[in-house]
Amino acid sequence: MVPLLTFPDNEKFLRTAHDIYKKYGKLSQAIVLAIRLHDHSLIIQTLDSTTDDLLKRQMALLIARQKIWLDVYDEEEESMVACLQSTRMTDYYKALALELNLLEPKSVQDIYKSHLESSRTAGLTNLDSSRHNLASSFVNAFVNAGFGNDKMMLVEENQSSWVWKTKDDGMISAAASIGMLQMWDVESGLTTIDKYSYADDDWVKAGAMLAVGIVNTGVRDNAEPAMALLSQDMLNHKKKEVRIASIMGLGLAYAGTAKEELSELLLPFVSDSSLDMSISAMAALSLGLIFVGSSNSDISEAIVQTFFDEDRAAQLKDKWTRFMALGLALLYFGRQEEVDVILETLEAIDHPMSKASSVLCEVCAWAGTGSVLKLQELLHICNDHIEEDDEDKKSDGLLQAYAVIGLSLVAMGEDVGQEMILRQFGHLMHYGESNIRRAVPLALGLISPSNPQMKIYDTLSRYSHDNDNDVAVNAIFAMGLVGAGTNNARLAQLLRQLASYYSRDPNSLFMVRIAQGLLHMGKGLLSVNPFHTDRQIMSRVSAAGLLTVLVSLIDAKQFILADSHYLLYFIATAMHPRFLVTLDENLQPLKVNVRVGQAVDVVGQAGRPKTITGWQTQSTPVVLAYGERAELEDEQYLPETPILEGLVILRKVIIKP
Amino acid sequence: MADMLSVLGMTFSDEDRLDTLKYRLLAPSVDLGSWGHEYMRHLALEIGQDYQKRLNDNKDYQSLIDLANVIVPFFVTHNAEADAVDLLTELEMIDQIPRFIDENTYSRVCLYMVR
Repeated sequence: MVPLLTFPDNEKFLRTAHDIYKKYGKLSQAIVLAIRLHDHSLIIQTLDSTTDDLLKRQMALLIARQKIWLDVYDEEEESMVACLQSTRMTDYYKALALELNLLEPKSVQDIYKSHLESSRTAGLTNLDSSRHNLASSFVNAFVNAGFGNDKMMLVEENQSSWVWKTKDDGMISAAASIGMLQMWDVESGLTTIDKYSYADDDWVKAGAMLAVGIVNTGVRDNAEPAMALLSQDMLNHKKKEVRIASIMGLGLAYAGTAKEELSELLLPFVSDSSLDMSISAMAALSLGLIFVGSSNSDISEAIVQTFFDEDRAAQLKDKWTRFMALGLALLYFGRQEEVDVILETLEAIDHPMSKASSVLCEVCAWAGTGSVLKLQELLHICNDHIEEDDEDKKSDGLLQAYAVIGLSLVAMGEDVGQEMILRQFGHLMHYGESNIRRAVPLALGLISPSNPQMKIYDTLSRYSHDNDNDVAVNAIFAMGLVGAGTNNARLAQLLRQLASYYSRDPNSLFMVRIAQGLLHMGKGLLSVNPFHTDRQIMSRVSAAGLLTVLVSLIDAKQFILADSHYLLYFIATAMHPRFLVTLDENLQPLKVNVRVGQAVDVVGQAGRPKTITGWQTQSTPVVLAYGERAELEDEQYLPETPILEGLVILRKVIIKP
Repeated sequence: MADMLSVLGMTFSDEDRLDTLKYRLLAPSVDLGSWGHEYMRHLALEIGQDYQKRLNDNKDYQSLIDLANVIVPFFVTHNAEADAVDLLTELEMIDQIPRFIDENTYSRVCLYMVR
């Protein structure tokens, strides 16, 4: 939405601007605004208003980047469908890796660089061996994500050996890491996973189900392999973990698609009160992801109903309940005013969870708007002092933690607000209770994911030595998040220091390893920042994925550091290559020269100022850092969209004699 | 006469007397732009203020809109798209903007609108 404008002005602005662009034939700009409005009929209408195939494909690519599911084309229009479904993502990604000479897999040791840690502790890092192996499988998955080859899991001769080096629940994550290694590559990915899904061990089976989900994240196939593989018999498997993993897999695979069949499939799990809370909550969360920002009334009703349900009353104290609330909140992601209905309903529920849930719904609804009023409300919540002997203490603590994370979720993507929020976080850290202090590092991480700004990671590195271990653990994760996919050398150095500092503390060390994995995510080709297309559009799916991971980290010792580390894979929805690949008219990668430089704000300036500064000339495909922009150097081609980011189709200029 | 008073009102008037606007509405002349850019901006500011006032008092504001219809094209053709958009926002008629722009100015207007 337009920053600094209130509803309904912001929508009117966008619609008017959209109409103007359309009138002057700038459809690719118009469609960006239609996507920002999140108005499906407007998107389709804009898409259909041209007969130009190239332009249409370019628009489809933009829509696919936002992960919007449109089912408007027949299968005959194969290449159109391929654009909309980002089927060829893995090809482009690997082409980029080939060009940058990054196909060679990296081993975990390349990332840890243990020899650079201080020698005193070097031999002791294997304190908790299966834990260590688990960390390694995460790191390996993040680092080699999407490349389809590595040095641990997919090695031919001793197949499946690594999975057995982890224990019980660890096997889930280890097996699931295969999914991340083969992300977007549906065909060969599923073949590899196939072996694991018939494993005798239920833990491995659960991991395989999760892997299926991760492979299908962000790409679609008309055969619906994820739906077929994760369907009934896996969902009704006798083992709880297999069910949870299958549900989560569905959530990952269909995030943002709003596919009706899935609501039929998953709703029974939400409303069946005889099920364990963890299963129902995961179903609610997956539905939230699938229908993110759709304000689907069937699902929200079902979730609210469980809050009212007498049989569930005892279960609502369960640690998993928060994910149920999160599922509800995600449904209203970015819907602004529309959330009020649900807030009122939640108010009527006499339960300590309801307050926390309503805050969660509210921050989701206003995510990325920078609304100052909401920020003030949230700060107010953090202001309340919680009495120690209060019996509702636990949920109120959660309430404040949500409020803190909400602060950065609302302020996200707006520079001035972000700056102010950073200052507020300093205050909260000084004067806040421990529950608030725990959430602050997470919020700091959320405010600039994959954008390592010195002031943020310096602060985080200070908190990473905090007396409260929960604060420290969260700060470490946040350091990974701000640097995710950047290979930032300073952060790497800081994390190595932390690794030797915490070499005796398995929990903290585990988190340091995860952070190292995040930092080198996709060998530096990926980003988890939800803002894309010149930082104009906020991807709901990515933001929702990040939020889920952060919510599970509020009580890290109960989830990520305990037996639910697989929740970390929710970050898969946010992972996207930060590339610029130029395509020719047949959608094949095309090599041209571009100038890459820091983006300049040219709004309201006189004349035709340059849009980038300090540029370097490179040939595509190139990797773009946060806040960078590219310009075509070559005048033989014209881009179909003025925003050179992601996949851009070039049209050859025909010089008329 | 009213023309002159209107221009002088820009420098001479107190905060909420809105002299510039008052005499402008009384004056019959058409070529507003010849009084300069600063004058137009001042006028736009006072229109915004007066619009809110008239809205609160339930008074007729058609004359303001008519005046805005003269000012906005001036802004758009003189590289002050931002002011044009702001004025239309104040008058709650941003959906009218397509009327005022052409293929030379639309990109700058839109850029300002969406950022």
